[in-house]
Amino acid sequence: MRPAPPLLRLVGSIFAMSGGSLRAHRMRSLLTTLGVVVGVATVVAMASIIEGFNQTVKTSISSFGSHVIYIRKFRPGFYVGGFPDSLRHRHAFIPEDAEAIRRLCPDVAEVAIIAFTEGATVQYRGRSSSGLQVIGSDPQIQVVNVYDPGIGRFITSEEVQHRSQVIVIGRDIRDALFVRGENPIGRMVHLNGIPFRVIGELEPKGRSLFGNPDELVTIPYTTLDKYFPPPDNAPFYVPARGECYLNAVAVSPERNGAAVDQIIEVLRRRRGLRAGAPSNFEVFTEDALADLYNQLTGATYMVMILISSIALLVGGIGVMNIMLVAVTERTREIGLRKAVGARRVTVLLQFLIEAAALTGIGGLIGIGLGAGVAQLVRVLSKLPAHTPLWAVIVAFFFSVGVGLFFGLYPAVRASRLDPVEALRWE
Amino acid sequence: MLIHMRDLHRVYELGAEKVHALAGVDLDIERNEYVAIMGPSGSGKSTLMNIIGCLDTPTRGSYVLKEQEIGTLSDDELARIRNQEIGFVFQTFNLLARADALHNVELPLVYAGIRHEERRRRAREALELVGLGDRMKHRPNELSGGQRQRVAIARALVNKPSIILADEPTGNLDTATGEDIMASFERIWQQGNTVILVTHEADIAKHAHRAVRMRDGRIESDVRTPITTAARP
Repeated sequence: MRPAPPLLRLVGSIFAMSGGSLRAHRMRSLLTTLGVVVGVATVVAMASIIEGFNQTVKTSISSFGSHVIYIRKFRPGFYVGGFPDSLRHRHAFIPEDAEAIRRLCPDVAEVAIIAFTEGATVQYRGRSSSGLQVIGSDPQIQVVNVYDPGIGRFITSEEVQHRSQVIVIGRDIRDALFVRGENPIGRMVHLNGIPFRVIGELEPKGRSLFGNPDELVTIPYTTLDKYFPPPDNAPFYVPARGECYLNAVAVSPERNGAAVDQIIEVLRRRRGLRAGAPSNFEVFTEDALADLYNQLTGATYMVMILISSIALLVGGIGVMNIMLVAVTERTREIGLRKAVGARRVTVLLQFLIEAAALTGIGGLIGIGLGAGVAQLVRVLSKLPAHTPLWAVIVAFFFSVGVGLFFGLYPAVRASRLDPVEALRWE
Repeated sequence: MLIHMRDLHRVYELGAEKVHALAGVDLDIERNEYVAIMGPSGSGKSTLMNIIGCLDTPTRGSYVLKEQEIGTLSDDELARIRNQEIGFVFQTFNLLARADALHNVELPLVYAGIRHEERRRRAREALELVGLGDRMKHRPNELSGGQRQRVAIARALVNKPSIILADEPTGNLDTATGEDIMASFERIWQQGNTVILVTHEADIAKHAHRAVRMRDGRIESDVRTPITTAARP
């Protein structure tokens, strides 16, 4: 007797059979695989969007200068159970703190003052732009945060001292207020009704996760303090009147840690904190923002995995159900295949491949759908969503895996059918 | 000797009840015989056919097919013997509805691991042999009953088996088409094949040259009809 053929040689033919039976039940196959489609589409769309955020964060960090040291009342983050009052009542800083840091911290190259108010409106000859964030700062911010005036110039120390009504605008503000080709420099605009002279326009940086620098206006912090003190109902993160936040930069990236330590030391001394007493302020670097960001994306990924697992589970059960139906429907076919020489493992493989092809196709549809959603987000929101290759590969293999897992039981049932019984099946 | 059976028993257990479908069958069949196995329903002829076709194994006794004891083989070994030694023709044709005639005939060769071009070539040959050379791309629902059964015969022949095993092959066909199909078996036998026909119709059985009658799980009679010289090639 001739030996049995190696299984591998049959696989191609088995694949062809599976394709045929799926084509025969197009609609049923499509509906069955819907759970897998939804699950995979979710993963791919979410991964694409998160990837878009990642890129935005990367560009925003590099455009803000990646070595900025933030000196704040509290650290950004998720506060479970609401923002605690103890942090809410902390005091921010005063311009003299900046002076002290500049004088006493050898590893700090520069310190800048930052205050801000929200919801301002700027007008020019009947055109206006509202809902703006107004930054009050000083010339040092140029060095610390790498702000370049594309045209005109930045605020000077004299203008800070004299509380001058001068304003540096972002690109989007210019587009909103001035007609194309009009030079904004020297024009008088009105910020919440108060006249300001435009002295410069910042180099456009593009949208970032932390707001769009092109939609900001910057004025001397002293001027902000004079004309736009924070209202009583201002959010807790807005510094109180006369107070400000500080941004610093170390002499070199390697001295970042030392600079942070020195700043903490100087501020503790100025606040009269005893050794061992906790600090009532926070000094942190981009890393802390990166941590926050990772917290955010981590949580998103968890939700995503949960949603898609449920969808894949539902899809998998659907596949198992339809494969059991298929095995019953095709009992005679299985009997015939066995009669003409199909071994158990061959029948098993046929149904297993069919299930895997079913979910694999579902996976491909899901990938297409997810990538489509990502493209839509990209077009509609300017978020540079883009589908990472790893997500496509993982999604595809996962959906095939679901088919193999949930298809195993029906396939085993098919392979164990007794040929005599199966051929007699009505 | 092609088939050698001694004291063959097959017992089914239906709950507590034991049914002796075969109760001691002795049967020898030589190469190139044309045998009809006859008997009323419940006589054990279907069970005997299943065992001859290696779809089932005896509970007790010996079945030797081409010097190979069948009773002790595993499911996969039985599948391989069915693939290589047996060509089935069923009453209900049992064709794959989605596949065309060519692919249906190819099926045993797929499981034999024959390569694609070789499969196509041999399946075409088999279809031409049964006179369906012009229907290769037709699906079963595009063929008449007789044509379907001829596709099934081509499928049974394609692997050049030792035995063609036909179970009521004309049961679903009208008389004229049935005669047609029986003529095909006659030709197949003349070409040197062993044909075993399972039927309860005497008209059909008379085409064979040996009639084995079953009753209550035993062979009741085994009659050879002399082969006329005209029938011999």
